[in-house]
Amino acid sequence: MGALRIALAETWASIRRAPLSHLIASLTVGATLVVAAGSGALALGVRSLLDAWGSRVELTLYLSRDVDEEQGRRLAQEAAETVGGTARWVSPEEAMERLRRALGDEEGILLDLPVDPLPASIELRPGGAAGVDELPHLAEALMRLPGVQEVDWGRDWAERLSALAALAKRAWAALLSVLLCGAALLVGAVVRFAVHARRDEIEILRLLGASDGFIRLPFVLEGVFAGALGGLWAALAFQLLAGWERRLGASLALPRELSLAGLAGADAFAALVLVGALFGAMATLFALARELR
Amino acid sequence: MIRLFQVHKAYPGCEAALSDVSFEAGEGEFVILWGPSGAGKSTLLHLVLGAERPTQGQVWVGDCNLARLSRAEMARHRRGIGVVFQDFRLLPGRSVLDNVGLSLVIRGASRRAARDEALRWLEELGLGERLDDPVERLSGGERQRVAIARALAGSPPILLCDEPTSQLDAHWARRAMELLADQTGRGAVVLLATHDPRFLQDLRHRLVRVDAGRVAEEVA
Repeated sequence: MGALRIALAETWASIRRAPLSHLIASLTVGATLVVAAGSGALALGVRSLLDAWGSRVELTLYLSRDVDEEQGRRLAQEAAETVGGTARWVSPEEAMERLRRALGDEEGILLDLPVDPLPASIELRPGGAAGVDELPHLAEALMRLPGVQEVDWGRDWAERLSALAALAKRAWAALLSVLLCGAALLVGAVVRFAVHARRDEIEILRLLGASDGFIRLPFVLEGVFAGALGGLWAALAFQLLAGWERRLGASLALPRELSLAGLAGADAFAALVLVGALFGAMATLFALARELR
Repeated sequence: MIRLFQVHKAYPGCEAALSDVSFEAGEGEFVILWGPSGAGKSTLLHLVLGAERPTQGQVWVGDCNLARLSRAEMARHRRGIGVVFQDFRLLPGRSVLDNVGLSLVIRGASRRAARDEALRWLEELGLGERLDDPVERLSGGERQRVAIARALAGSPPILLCDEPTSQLDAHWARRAMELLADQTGRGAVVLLATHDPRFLQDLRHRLVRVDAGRVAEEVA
């Protein structure tokens, strides 16, 4: 007959009174967690893909024609120090040779060109920590080096990808807000229904001197139960998705960063149930603050 | 222990339930509030319980002005009161034992202590065979005895009883009154509201007549 035992008994009775509404609430929490965790993991995956791309990209610094080989090599060293990576000086002759090889059979078109049409350049590979967002700043810094006329770093692609990532982040935040509000309202509605079903009993308990905590505990446990069950649904959904991904892995050819396998482990399972339970408790407390004034 | 100062209680659109009531009851006193239905007896008990607030005036219990109590303090105040409501107010869907034991758990008793104490009072009131029955299955008189057992359990310092014998036969009415009177021996104050004129014959207790919302006379 201890307070917790009484609260648990009352929680169980309430769940048995309205099993469908509890199931719907838990499914909504589960769907919210799937979208939240899934899209969050996806966003992180995209981010790390972009960063990986940023660290693999090669910047080309085109030098003005009055820069001689010695100055060029010094500049390459300076540029490498500026970005913390590696740099290589490419002479106009080597650039021309590369172009000739790239043209193959059509190298004849180069005969009409003036002598040494290509400028000397520096090929620069930034260090591993350079993300895609840092490339514009790197390029700006490199442009300030004496003798550098132009920096080519795939600005169009990087900007497009960055904009796409930012848009996806905003859409994710908006969707998550809507889902969180919806799930919180639904859990709140289930709790309010339970409060109404026990209104007379609550009144009697108050007259007998029951504390707010004593009265609220069964409802909070209901919210925790619905939330934890939602977490369980989400964890099961990720198990299914990860299994599906494993089976179709080869044909999907997804990069490692976009895999859902990380959300199907034991740690993720526990975290989803815990987050679900916390969410349920908070949504319940918020609803009770209004309902049991 | 219980003091009411010039208390006035009115409900919107109704005549005043209590007008200018001043009243005191000390430790170990058994006070019978006697008067016709609608005289304001139940309202007076509700004010002491803190279930209602006076429109004017003050209600003090011990050193506490009830109007000044926070929610938590009010709950603590109520935990020191055993109440027999006129309509019993038993917890629906719960057993006889749970109804009494729960009030003790609310007061902080352990599960075992609550069970033992509830059992003692229910047996005193002849309900030892009905412990696991849901209260809905009981007769009116049996429910009233459960309500009395709940009020007595835990030996609270204040007992508020609203027509506590209205549905009891002569034997159980007498027994209930004995048990309530016994509580004064340990210093508890008992306020018992009734319209039953038979209580006027009981000269052991202090009789206070309540009529038309006023404490009309005290019968020594």
